[in-house]
Amino acid sequence: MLKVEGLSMQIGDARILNDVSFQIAPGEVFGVVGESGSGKSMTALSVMRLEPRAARLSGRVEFEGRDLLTEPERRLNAMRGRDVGMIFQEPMTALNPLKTIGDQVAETLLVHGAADRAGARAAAEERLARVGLDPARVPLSRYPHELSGGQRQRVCIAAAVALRPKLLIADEPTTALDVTTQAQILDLLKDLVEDEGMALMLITHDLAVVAGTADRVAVMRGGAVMEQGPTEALFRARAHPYTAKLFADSRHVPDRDAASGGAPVLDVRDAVRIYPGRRGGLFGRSEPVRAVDGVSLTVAAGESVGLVGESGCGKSTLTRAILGLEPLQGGAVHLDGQPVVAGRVPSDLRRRMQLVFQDPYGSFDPRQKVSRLVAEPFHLEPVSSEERRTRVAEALDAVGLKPEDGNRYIHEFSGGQRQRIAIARAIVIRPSLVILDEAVSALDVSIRAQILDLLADLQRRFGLSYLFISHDLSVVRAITDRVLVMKAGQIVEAGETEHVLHAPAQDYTRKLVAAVPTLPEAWGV
Amino acid sequence: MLCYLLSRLISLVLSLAVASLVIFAMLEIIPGDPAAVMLGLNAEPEAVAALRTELGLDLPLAQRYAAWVGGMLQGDFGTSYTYRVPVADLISARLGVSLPLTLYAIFLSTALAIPLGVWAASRHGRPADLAIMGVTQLGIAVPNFWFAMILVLIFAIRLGWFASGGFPGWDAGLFAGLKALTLPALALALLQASILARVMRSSLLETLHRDYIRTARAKGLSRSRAILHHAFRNALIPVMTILGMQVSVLIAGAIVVENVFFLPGLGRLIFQAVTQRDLIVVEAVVMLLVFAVVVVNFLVDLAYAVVDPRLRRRA
Repeated sequence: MLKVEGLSMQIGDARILNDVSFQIAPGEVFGVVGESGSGKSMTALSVMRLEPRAARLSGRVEFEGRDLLTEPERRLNAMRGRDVGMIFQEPMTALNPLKTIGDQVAETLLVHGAADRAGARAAAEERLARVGLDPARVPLSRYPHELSGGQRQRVCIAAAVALRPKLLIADEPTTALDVTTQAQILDLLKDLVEDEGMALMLITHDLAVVAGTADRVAVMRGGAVMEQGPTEALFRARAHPYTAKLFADSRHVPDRDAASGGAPVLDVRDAVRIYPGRRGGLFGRSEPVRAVDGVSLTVAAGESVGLVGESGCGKSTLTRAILGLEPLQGGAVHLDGQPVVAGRVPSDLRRRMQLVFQDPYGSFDPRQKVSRLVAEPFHLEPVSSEERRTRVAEALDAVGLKPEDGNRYIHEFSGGQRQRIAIARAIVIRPSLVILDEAVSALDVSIRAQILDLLADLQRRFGLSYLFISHDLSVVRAITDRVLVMKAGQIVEAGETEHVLHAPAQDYTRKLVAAVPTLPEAWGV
Repeated sequence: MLCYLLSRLISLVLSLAVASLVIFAMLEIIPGDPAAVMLGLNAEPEAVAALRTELGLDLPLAQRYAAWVGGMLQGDFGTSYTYRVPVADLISARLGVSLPLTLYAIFLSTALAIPLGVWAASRHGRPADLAIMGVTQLGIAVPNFWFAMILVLIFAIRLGWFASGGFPGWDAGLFAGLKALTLPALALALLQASILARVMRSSLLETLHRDYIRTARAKGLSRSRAILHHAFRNALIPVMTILGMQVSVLIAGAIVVENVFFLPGLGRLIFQAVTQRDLIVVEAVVMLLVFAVVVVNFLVDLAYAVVDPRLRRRA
């Protein structure tokens, strides 16, 4: 049905795609895996002919016998949405904030003249129900901002499959969602393929997602297809060295010693954080939200503790409370035995806890040199400029960068290097506790493996304690000693990581663990 | 929505109260006794004192403020020191020119700016875009009184299509009135249109890079249809902010253009009142301008809520 032959793309002098060829048969699920910059998304956009305006394409993209590279724009508009639908990674921004979800789904039918207004509305209702948004509970008159990320992705899917296209292209459809929502969306996509005989081109960086979904798979790197074939055979053989490396990296467990269980560095006792309810009407307020509801936890010196849970479970609020950025209505937080009280955290105490965020780029001032960015925490601990310089150089060295890198700006570094710089900034004033908030979630598997090694190494050298907040259970399993499972503001299960993830005692934990896509054991990975 | 409306209304009333206090206090501080000015340099002190009593200038401050505000609430703006007629009559006569002029200018400015901005954005980087950017740059740089003179030179003196100034009054008919206001409105509108077209362009360009535009294209919308149905309304939000500010500028800023075209508008009135130290007229006109600005901002806030569903929920 879709036949891509020798597809190449060039933007300026840069070659983005290089001789990409593959085919997708009707009703087939075709997976495309690769790291960021491998050309997965550009391949998909080229098939839709929505490539960047500056891009030049060559080769053939044949869909049902017509070469899309030579079709006029008018015919392409008629094809998009009707024959080929597409959904994207970021459901939060993929919908127009000013239009109701019903209108946005109905638009697909109206644009193609497939129905009149009433007909399109009825179809939108039916399609939204099909993707799991019951109009009785989620009316068509809702706006995107009133829905969760998972619900928004369902709306996108409903709009993309409204005309029952022959091919659906899904570009990292679940990357921005938490594990349980990811499992639901993947199930929905699989159901749609089965029920409607639709083909699916599934683009992802996650090997396990492809393993559980795709019939055939292509592995991409640097704009070219490394190898392709039936998923199981290809993943079992791992004939291409790059495929083998991807597998090794995704399963990488850093070499680290189990914590000895020393004195507690962080001690949270019965922490409670209540938000006043949302205002509604003139004087009314809805029920207050107990975002953190009686949480107790400790992190010992040199220990790594994981904190997992779905989005909205209170992880972020708890983190902010630990950092003294969020007042507590009950309980207390102690760091090295000293109380952390919001708004009154002395510099000396603040110095001893540092934070690394998910998106390193967003947490750096783009106009400052790296040496100044890394030296930022020194406002908490005045030292001579001489000592500051040496310690910045040491920190950069410790995270595997060169001291000269301090003279460069943040945009000159890759994503993995930026995360190293963020870690350098966190350790430069020798904290006791480093909170890692989804710190490796946005990284490619090979970079992630390196960063996990780095974290293990730094922990050994500086005796750091980590509080590792993540929705990615495989990462938590790789690097933490103990894990806490959080749900609706409470810790529902806690214990040794291996034990909790292997034999969860709570239903909620079991659900979380089951939702994580895994590579089948039988494939010998 | 009701909550949003109410909070905006409260803020409107508070702004007006603060503004009235500031205006009153300012005019108390500046030197110059209206009674002395009215009677001339050689007036007897007794006569000045008598006039002060007549005008109520010798009453305590608080009492005079209360009388001023109370009067305004009932439509009584006092009596002009120089013209010796009620200020309300003076203002309403002048508003009959200024208000249509402002609305005319806003109409011209948006009618020019929005299509130009959309066109430039949809031809980003092409000759049409560059030409529009160049012309609007010029429009911002050239002061409007100079522009007014050029318009007079071309359309009034050379071509003779319009009168070079003056206003026949609305009694002469709607068409005659609008015709007399066309050149002044155009002179006022061009600067605002230049700014607005640029804001429209950049806002639309930014919106065109949003993910939901890509989603719309993937559904099969053509580029122009995606601009019209998805990008345009989202891009309007910053444009409305600028438009609201411009209305205020146009209401207050017509002084120079009214003088160039010899129009009996509010701008000329306040100009004359200031030079003649007719403080009661100045107070009333400034208060009126503040009122207009605050009301326009209120309307812009309402328009936000109409366009953006995310605001309707907020208090």
